[in-house]
Amino acid sequence: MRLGKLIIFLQLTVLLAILPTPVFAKITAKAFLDSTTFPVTGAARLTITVNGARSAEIDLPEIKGIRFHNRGQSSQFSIINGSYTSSITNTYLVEPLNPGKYSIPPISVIAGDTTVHTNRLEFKVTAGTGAASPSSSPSSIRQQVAFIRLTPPGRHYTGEIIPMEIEVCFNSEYRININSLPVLHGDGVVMAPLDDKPGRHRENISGKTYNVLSWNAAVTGIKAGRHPISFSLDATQVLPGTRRPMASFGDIFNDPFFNNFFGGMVERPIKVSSKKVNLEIIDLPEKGKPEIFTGAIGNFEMGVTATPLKAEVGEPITLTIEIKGKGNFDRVEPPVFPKNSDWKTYTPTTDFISGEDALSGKKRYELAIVAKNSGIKEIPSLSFCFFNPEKQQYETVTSPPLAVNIAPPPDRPITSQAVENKPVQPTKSNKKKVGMSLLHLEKGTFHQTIEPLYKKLWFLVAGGCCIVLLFMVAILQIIQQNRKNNPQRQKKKENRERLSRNFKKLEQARKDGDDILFLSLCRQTIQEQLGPAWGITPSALTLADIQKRINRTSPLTEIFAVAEEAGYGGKGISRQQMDEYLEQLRHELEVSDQGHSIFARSRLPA
Amino acid sequence: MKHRFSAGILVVLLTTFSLAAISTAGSKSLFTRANEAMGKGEYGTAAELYEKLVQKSGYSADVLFNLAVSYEHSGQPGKAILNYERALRLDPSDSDIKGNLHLLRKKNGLYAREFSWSEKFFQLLNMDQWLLASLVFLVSFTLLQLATLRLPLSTALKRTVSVACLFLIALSAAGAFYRYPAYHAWVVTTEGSRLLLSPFDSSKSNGSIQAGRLVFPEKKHHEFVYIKDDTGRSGWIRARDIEPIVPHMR
Repeated sequence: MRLGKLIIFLQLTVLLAILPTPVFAKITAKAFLDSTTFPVTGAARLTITVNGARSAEIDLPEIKGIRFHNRGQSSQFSIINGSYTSSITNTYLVEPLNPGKYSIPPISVIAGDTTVHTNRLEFKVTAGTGAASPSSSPSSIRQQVAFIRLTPPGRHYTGEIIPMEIEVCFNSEYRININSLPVLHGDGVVMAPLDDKPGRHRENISGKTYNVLSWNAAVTGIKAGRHPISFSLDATQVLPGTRRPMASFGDIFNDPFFNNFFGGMVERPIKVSSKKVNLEIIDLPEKGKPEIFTGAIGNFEMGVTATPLKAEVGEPITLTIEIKGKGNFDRVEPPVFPKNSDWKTYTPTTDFISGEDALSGKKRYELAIVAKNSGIKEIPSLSFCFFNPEKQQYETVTSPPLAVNIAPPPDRPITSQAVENKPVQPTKSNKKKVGMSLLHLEKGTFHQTIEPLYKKLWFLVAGGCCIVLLFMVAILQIIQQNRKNNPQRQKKKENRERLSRNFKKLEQARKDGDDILFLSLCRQTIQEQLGPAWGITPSALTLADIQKRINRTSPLTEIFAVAEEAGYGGKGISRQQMDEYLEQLRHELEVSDQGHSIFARSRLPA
Repeated sequence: MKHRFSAGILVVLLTTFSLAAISTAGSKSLFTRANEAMGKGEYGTAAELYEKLVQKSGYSADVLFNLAVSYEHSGQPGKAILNYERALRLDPSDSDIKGNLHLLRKKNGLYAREFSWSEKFFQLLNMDQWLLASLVFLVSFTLLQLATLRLPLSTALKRTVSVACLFLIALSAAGAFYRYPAYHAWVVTTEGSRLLLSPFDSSKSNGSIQAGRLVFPEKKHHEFVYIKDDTGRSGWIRARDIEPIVPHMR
């Protein structure tokens, strides 16, 4: 075991002896700007490479009109033939604030005890907007934050819907927020509102990844001529804010994440514009233009249906005309129903269902027609005319006539002609017959306004009264419920009822002249009234208890003493005394029941 | 002094009665003249006379009905439907008004969308009728509650009747709420009106809208109103092309 350890130790010693001592190269610093000319809406990448040092502190100068944003640091080291090399690369984004010529002076790099300087850099910031067409050179695209691409519009007719694809490309290296939809600039053309939700995809353009938003726009030329048009869009470029010095936190915050986090974000408005493209608009040919042409340009189909196909004179038939295809549906008008004495027509209703793109769709008309005569065999054919821009000629589509069966009305035909020709006569029911309508011959009651019921006073008063009554009933019910649920109140009520019953018995005994029964009832009444109030069982209440609690001179004490004496000794009392006792009892006990009572005069609390 | 005062009162009363009598006579003559014009087939004249009568004396279901008939025969279905609707607000149970309105709508192809069974149920009554029903149930409920204070009713009976009353109150209130927009709808009165995409004359059209369609205004922009019709279509329309069924205060 010991021998094994010794062998490993010797091997390590030999290996260390063989390995050459690392040789550190001389410390140098170099600055490089990836572009020397860029627009004010763009930015350039500044790379500072420090060779021969493991760590270095870069002291960026403050330059008027320029802001530096730290985009991170990378370091690498290598040992080649015993020679140890290391380098640190710091990357910054140079954001110009104004156009002009700028110079970055030599930047001080402190690596340990050594201070080195980078080379001086010169660059130019142009006043451009950053816009460019896709045909621009790759180098110019590379510098751009965003640009707009357009499909070439070509030559079109007045009123024709021209599909155009607007693609706004955003460099994926930049964080950009969109503030508006693309806006059309140019005279003689109009554009339908763009969709809020554009198509999105990623695309590699000249080696850079771009996020592309695309809209399918529908542009229409409203006058003939060559119209230069362009599109623009407002956006905000979000840039990391300048890092604040946080020396106390050391190198932990030399990380872009923390740098952005503590430095905050800066928003800069930018305008992305497209290159101007020429849109050539020509007028529709006058030659061969049919009279029924209403301005529809595109490629359309027409279908006509009718329901019901069996009807009576005067009964409406719904004619459904469906025009579908691709083109300017806003100029599509319903085919004119041929002027005919057999049919009465009404204004059609329109319904438009848009298709997948801005051009395609389906327009549906519902036309009510009424047959004036029986025996009509068909609904005449309808024609619709449009200009086909692909074939560069006018085309007319015609529907076949639709077979119908029109029967005479069951009784007398009721038509508007009948109304017009025959004067109306009063009927028995005070009404005149006017065609399908009855005429009222009474004026009826006049109202100053047509008032809904909820605004009428009587309705409001009735409703209000009901609500008030319900409220009062609810309060009364609550009071009743509370009374039922209160045991003390219940006891008091029972006491009152018992007292009333006892007084009736006493009255009866007095009337009968039964003094013994009278006194016994007096005793019972006093016991039943005072016992529960003092928490003593009524039958257990004695004279001593009463004397303890009530003044000895109280009539109750006297009555109770006399009643006890009569109970044990059989001593009676006169009728006059009975009257007095009854009066005294009534006074003492009824008053006591109402609250200000003998309890108030008692020596001990009740 | 007393005699002078009495004489003054007498003069005022006589003047008032005379004016009222003249006014009534005027109304009568207008109504009669309008009816005569209808009999002669002069529907335009009849409509004008009925309109004058309405402006002078106010709204009456019968006069509005006759006015609607005159508009119907003078080829103004929009105005006719508006006045039938107004007449229905004053007399919702009049079968003449309902029948004529139904026929006129059918004749002009003003079909409504298909309604669900619950919508059909609520359409059995109009807003006023639902409100009246709710008041009847509220009064019944109140009387029942008052009775329970004195009458010894069983708890089960009280509870059942109360729940039934409350359910019916809620149902009729829901009916009134559902029928509220229809009660306050507007009518397209101009033939050949168009629904526009934006509130200006040169805007693209969304399609035409027939005279007599019920519409529900949502917002206004200068002379244009954004409306939704009873088939669910929406768009801007000129304010002068529509009229409210429930007119503003006279």
